[in-house]
Amino acid sequence: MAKSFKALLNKRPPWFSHVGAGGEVILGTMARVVRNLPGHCFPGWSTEEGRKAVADILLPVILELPGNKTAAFSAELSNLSYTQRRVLLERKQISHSMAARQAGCHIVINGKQDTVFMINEEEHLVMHFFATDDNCFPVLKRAEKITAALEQKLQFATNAHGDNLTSLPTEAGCSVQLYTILHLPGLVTANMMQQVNRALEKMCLSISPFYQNLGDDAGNLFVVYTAPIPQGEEEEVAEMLEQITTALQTRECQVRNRLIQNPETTSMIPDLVNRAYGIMRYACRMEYKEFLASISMLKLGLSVGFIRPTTLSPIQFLDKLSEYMLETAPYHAEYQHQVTDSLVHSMRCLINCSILAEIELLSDFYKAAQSALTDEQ
Amino acid sequence: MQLTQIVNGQVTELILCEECAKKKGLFDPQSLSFAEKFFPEELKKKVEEIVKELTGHTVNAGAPESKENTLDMLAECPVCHFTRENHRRTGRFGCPACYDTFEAELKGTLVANDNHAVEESALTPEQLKQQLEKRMKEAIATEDYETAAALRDKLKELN
Repeated sequence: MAKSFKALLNKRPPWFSHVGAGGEVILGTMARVVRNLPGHCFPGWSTEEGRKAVADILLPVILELPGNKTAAFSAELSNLSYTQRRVLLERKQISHSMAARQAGCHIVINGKQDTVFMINEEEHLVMHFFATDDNCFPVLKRAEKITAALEQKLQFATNAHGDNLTSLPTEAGCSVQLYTILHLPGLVTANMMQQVNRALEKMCLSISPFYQNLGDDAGNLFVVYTAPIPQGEEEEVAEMLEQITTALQTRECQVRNRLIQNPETTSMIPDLVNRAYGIMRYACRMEYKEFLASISMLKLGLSVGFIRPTTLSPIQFLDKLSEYMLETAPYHAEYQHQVTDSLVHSMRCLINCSILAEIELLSDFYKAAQSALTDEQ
Repeated sequence: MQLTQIVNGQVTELILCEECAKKKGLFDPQSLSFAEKFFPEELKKKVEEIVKELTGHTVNAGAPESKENTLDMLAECPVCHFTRENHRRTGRFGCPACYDTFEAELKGTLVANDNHAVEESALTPEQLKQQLEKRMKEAIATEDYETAAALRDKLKELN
């Protein structure tokens, strides 16, 4: 029995689900795999009939895969409304180019929501594999396993050397592209993102904002990704990406500590955390970008020990914050809670009541201010 | 700077380094596109003059006369009818069979990717040295020390 769109929203995708091995700095990983069928035009050049013919070949095989037989969500893009597509974009379950597609283009999301199959995106088949791990090896292994299962039943377009053919000739022969999602409030606060960008460039890696439509550092979330990796070099590149992301994680923690310990900047993080708390606690209307920034600061406050949830464990607290990131996303709010205002005002009540009241502010500045007030009284 | 002229399906490509482009008055891409829009005939004449002046010397920066330049732009893939011109415009192919149809185009892309090597092969050792020094200074100015180090090593080899 295929899952309905509403049922799909009942479960959160991996990146928004819980904190993985990478703590609140490395949020998760993704592998993107593309394959094409021989004898069919690439989606960017094909007609509706051509796209439907490709979907007729791919869809039954994909739905037969273990994990897709039951509980998978499957839909043709033309049957999804504009809001539904935006919701999927907010969940990072489809790409921007897929969101703009029409008839003959299908999406299949497995039951765990950790694998997405896009039929007729920019290539005939684009697969995204998600995980909350701190390295790309698990998603890489899963990608290899599922691709091998598909290759047993389908013949994909390859050249005489067995290299995969893609619509972009410069990417032919590449098998996979790897992504890591990072939360870097320390490096952003210390104005070091330009240096990070330059350093990654030298390693042939790229970095872009996680929420590209919201600006450069919305929520201090970033995606570090490789170029499409030539066949046979996957493990080597995955290892390099793991080393780089671990180095970034270490650097992020060092910068946070340095900001706190340096007398000139020591008030910076407590100030940002307390401001975020104040805004989240008492504001009635705010834009999603501001909300993401506040969430990021609360996560930072928790990691450096400036705030403490009273009843929830730190993991549960982070998980709740991740849940709110989705719940208050503009199109989620519109679809699920009929909030059509671009400012997520009605969602504020929900958050104020359920979680922020539980936070205990522990920063020295807050304590000092409190004791000063007590002394005055 | 790269200028591509297509007349009746015949392609003429002109690749000039920044200095040469400036000497020939082709230094501003915006005014070039303006000229193409408003004075197409005059621009055509200007490009033809430059091509004539440079033919046999530095057209395509000294690379052997390329077969690619005389390829029929209207050639198309028998499976998807994607033309060579479509590929030039989009950088993509229409279907997997295009890889066989436009095999020559693919090789051309690989050659074009090594523009610097082609440019450098057209220079005298002294010119090359000057150009490398200039690029090294630029790299240092932009704090691109890795490129600067590579250029320094290249200069050492030349000396």
